[in-house]
Amino acid sequence: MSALLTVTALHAGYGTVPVLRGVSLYVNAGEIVAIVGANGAGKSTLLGAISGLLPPTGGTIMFRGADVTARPAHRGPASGMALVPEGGRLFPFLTVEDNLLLGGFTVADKAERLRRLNEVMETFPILGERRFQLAGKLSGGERQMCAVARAIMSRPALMMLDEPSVGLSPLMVERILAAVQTLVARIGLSVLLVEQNTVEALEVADRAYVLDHGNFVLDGPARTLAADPRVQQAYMGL
Amino acid sequence: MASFAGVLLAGVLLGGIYSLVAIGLNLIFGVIRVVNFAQGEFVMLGMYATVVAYTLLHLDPYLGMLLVFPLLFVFGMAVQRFILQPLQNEPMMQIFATFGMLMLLQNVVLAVTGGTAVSIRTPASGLTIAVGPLQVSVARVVALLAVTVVAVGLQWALHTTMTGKAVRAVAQDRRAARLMGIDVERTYMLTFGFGAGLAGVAGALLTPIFTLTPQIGGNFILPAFAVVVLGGLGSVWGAYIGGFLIGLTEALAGFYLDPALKQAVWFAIFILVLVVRPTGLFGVVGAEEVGLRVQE
Ligand SMILES: Nc1ncnc2c1ncn2[C@@H]1O[C@H](COP(=O)(O)OP(=O)(O)OP(=O)(O)O)[C@@H](O)[C@H]1O
Ligand SMILES: [Mg+2]
Repeated sequence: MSALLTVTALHAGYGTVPVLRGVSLYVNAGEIVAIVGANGAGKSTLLGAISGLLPPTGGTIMFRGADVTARPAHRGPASGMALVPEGGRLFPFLTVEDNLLLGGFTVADKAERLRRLNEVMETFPILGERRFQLAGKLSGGERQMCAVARAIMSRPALMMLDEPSVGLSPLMVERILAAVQTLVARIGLSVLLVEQNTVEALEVADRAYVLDHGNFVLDGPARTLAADPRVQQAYMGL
Repeated sequence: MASFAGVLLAGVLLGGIYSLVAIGLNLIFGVIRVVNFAQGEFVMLGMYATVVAYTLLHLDPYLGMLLVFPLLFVFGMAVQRFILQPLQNEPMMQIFATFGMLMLLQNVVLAVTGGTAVSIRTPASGLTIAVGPLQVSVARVVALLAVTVVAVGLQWALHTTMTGKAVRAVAQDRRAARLMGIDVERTYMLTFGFGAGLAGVAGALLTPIFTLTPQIGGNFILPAFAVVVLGGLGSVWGAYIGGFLIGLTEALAGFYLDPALKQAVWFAIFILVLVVRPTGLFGVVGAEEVGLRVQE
């Protein structure tokens, strides 16, 4: 069986500055795969290239058996790919409800969109309480919840998360990652998780890749990497 | 007393006309972040199209609107697609481009018409109704009602329909909007088309009132800029209410000071607002509503 997502020898950068120098990875259905690495390693660039926000300069991206290399980002949700960008990037002057509804923008049937809205508000009760509040007024943790919930609205097969834990308390990080794990178990989602919080990321992930200066320097089962002294020293502060 | 009421009434009716032009301008600015200097020329094109429809097809301007709106809508979409979109990463160039369009459209129409003034007499042209002791132009009242319908309708659509929410999402964070599956370039085309279409509708509504010359756009664009700054960038209500404030100011200044000073008074207000409250009177729901955040 072929993987859900297969990235082969991907190159991407900004202007003439290369950032990714030929990275390859795969994500199987139902897997949580983590990508860890220092600031500026190219983690966000990688997710941008996969999602279509940043056209790659080389390599291929296959998703659900189709070549999606350099496909425009707005075609992602309908194909089953969702990205929760760094910081969530909610629409600050829209209500929580409108943010969630826009997550289901590509769902043509209004009744179905409302059904999913009620469902995510059941999964994340805090969002139900904040339903008519402007998204810009949410707390950091609520904002991440809302961003994850918004991505779920399109019923993705693959959800990519860019540093959901940034700026959150350890307790909030665990709650968000636990919510993601629950979703994976419940709706058969696959997750590509970018994290600087290596300890937490390796705890929830099945497999992981270590990105350094635009190259994967290590990869393997998350448990193996968590026990690797090189990873512990460089990324886990042990 | 009657004359004061008359001045107020004239100001409100004039304000309705300014709002009509400013709403399209502000929609385009709010979503695409382009100051469309050619918006007055779009109104001028709408007026000429109305006159042509009246002369050739004997269409009353109020019916001609149904033809002029789609015409300007398509024209606006083409302008966005073929002139502004290629300059998307160079905002300064976009502004120069709209200014260039202003000159181009004015001079092309000047060349085609030879610069002669045109006015048509429609059933609404000379018609007045009595409001107490005052005589009120029916065409101006129609324009006032129309702009109210447009403002309410647009506000409703932006807040209630999925397309409207998508337009606001694009205005606030176009990168995140793409991730929702929204085609940002298409949204820009629709928005610019709609803004141009509104300018066309304004032109049709103004044809029974004004004598038409190729330079008439300038009469509307200056007050429309003052309206937008006063009311708040990007806000529908800001443009609507700002129009009345500018209209009233002009009427009062014209009556108590000197009609020649009206532009000086607008710009005094313009600068004062910029200094005291840069986000406009409706700043909170205006400029910030469209999201004053760095894009991409
Ligand atoms: N829009 C941009 N234009 C130019 N260079 C950029 C841009 N975005 C990122 N870079 C550069 O590309 C490199 C990789 O950035 P990227 O955002 O992918 O790193 P990251 O691994 O996500 O880091 P962080 O953990 O801080 O989010 C960095 O050197 C960064 O300076
Ligand atoms: Mg990053």
